[in-house]
Amino acid sequence: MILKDLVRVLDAEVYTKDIYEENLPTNYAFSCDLMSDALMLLRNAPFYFCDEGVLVTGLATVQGIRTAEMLDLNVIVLVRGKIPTNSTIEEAKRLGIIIIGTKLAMFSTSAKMFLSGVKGLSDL
Amino acid sequence: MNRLYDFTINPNDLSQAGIASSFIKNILKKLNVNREIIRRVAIATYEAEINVVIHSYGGKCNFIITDNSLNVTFIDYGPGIISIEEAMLEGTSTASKYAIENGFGAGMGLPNMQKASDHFSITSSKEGTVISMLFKLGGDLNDC
Repeated sequence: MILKDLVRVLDAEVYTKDIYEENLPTNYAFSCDLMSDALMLLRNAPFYFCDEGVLVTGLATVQGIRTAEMLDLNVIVLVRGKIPTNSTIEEAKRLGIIIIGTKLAMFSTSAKMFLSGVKGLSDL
Repeated sequence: MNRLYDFTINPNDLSQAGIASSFIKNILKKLNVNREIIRRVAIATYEAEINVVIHSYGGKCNFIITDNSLNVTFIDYGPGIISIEEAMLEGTSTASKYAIENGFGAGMGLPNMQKASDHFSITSSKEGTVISMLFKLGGDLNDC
């Protein structure tokens, strides 16, 4: 799956249009609201998982961006209609992390992604 | 020649948390350190930095890069950890609502630091907590 398809499937809005890459591979995803879980569980994830991975979260603060930075994740999907602040968007752009947002809840977002072929850590 | 980098960490300001970790991650990238090691350093230092911000009265950290290792020290100014044994259990947390609302406080920080580093030590008293971590970087490092 590539990013433009993900945006279509989730009916998502792109918050970092300046750095949007529609053909970016988005074949893997990890969903959580607690960044500690991402930092713990993705510590041993294969590099291809993060290189083509998406962080699905309801956390719209800069800490979500920094967590993605530490894990080399290139895309964040904000769920439940969360809107990032301008400072969060600017930090994401500085780090080259694309933020998209959907009004769907985390469960439905993850389910739609899974049905579109995106794999989770437990599916490798 | 050793390289030394120091950072001050302010309490209760998550907007700044991660700056030191991001810095050392980029330094290691420039030094062409193995990607697996960089990921472990980034995760462990970020967890430590967050802990100082959300649990302490403030603190500092320093990074010392030698020819083949990275020594990391995080020092805070209290109030200390009541039981290190309990704090090392996965899922045990005393984090505030502010920390949890910002995505932290799952009680995974200290165990994750220990697992991510090649050597981990922690001491704590009312005066503060000191965490030391060692990462073997492997081989001679390229100059940056």
